Amino acid sequence: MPAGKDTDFILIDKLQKGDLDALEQLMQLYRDDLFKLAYRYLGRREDAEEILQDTFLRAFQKIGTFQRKSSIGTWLYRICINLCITKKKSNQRTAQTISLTPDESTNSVAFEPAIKNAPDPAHFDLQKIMQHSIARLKPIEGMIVTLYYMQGYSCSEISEIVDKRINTVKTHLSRARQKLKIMVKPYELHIRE
Amino acid sequence: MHCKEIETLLVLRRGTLDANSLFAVKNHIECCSSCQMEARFEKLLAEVMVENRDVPQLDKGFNQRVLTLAAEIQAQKKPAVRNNTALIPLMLSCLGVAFSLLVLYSGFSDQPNIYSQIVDFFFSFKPFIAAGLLLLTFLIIYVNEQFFENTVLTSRPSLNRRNRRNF
Repeated sequence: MPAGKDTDFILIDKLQKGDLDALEQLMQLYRDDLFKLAYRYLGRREDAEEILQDTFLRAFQKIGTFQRKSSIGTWLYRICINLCITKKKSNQRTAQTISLTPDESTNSVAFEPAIKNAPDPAHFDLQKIMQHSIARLKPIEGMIVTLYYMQGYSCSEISEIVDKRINTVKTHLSRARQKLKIMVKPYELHIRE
Repeated sequence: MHCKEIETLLVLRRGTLDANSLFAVKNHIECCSSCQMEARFEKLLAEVMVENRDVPQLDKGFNQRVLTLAAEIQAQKKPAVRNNTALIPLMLSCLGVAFSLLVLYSGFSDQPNIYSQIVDFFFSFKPFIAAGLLLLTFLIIYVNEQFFENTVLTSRPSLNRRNRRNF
């Protein structure tokens, strides 16, 4: 995450005064990273753009509540992550209500029929199965997996970003991996290759 | 080295292993089939994640859209709400103005009336009292303007409910 402490303080002061140029500067600094995170987690560009927009608007409105205990980048990440998790929960609820079969456009969680209906494991797409499996994880587990594997953060960095203890992060990561292993187990033979 | 330690060393301490630990992990994996599975799964997971790392471009008008929305939010921001205690100086101001006028009227009035009797009862030096009250009234109004953002003298938008929007 870019920007040093001095830049942070100047930016925060300007934002608290409602300076829109400061908001634009903030977007230039953090927009791309946050968009990558939101897109990799949610899987849809429209959702990711919506979350990114909400993140910056919320930060602009709530800058007065920012206590400067962390950097502004970490604070933005937290806002983005919370919004992403809320969106994911909403998507999962919608998918469960409608009982969709796997549909990438809605990032659906109804994954099992795809396995049951696949006549020949040799014809499945392991990448897609893994993606669907990750989408089925609990929102917080999916977020930690995204931060760890896609964004490349260490467990200690993730614990600072999501504001949880490091052992909690490790537990979530471990559980997520166990769940993914179970979901991919039918295709174990292909993993052995 | 035990199989249970492999996940911790392979995954949860990624990038932090020293040379000895790394050597021990590699040795164990070569001898243990279940840990080989673990290592392959980890590799698969990492590969899938790398595959999914590509991200499309953001919409070009994104920044402008956010700035426009932020400007709207700023324009519609709730004005300073006048709390009940801030009304007290305003009420005192109005009473002061009324009483000053009363005093002046009774002072200029030729015939004695109830108002002059009231004022006579309270004050002896009417013009000075009236002037003092007027000055005090304007001082209270001025303090309201400067410190409580009340809108008696200036032309700021009123606190009409139609103009308030919550975000």
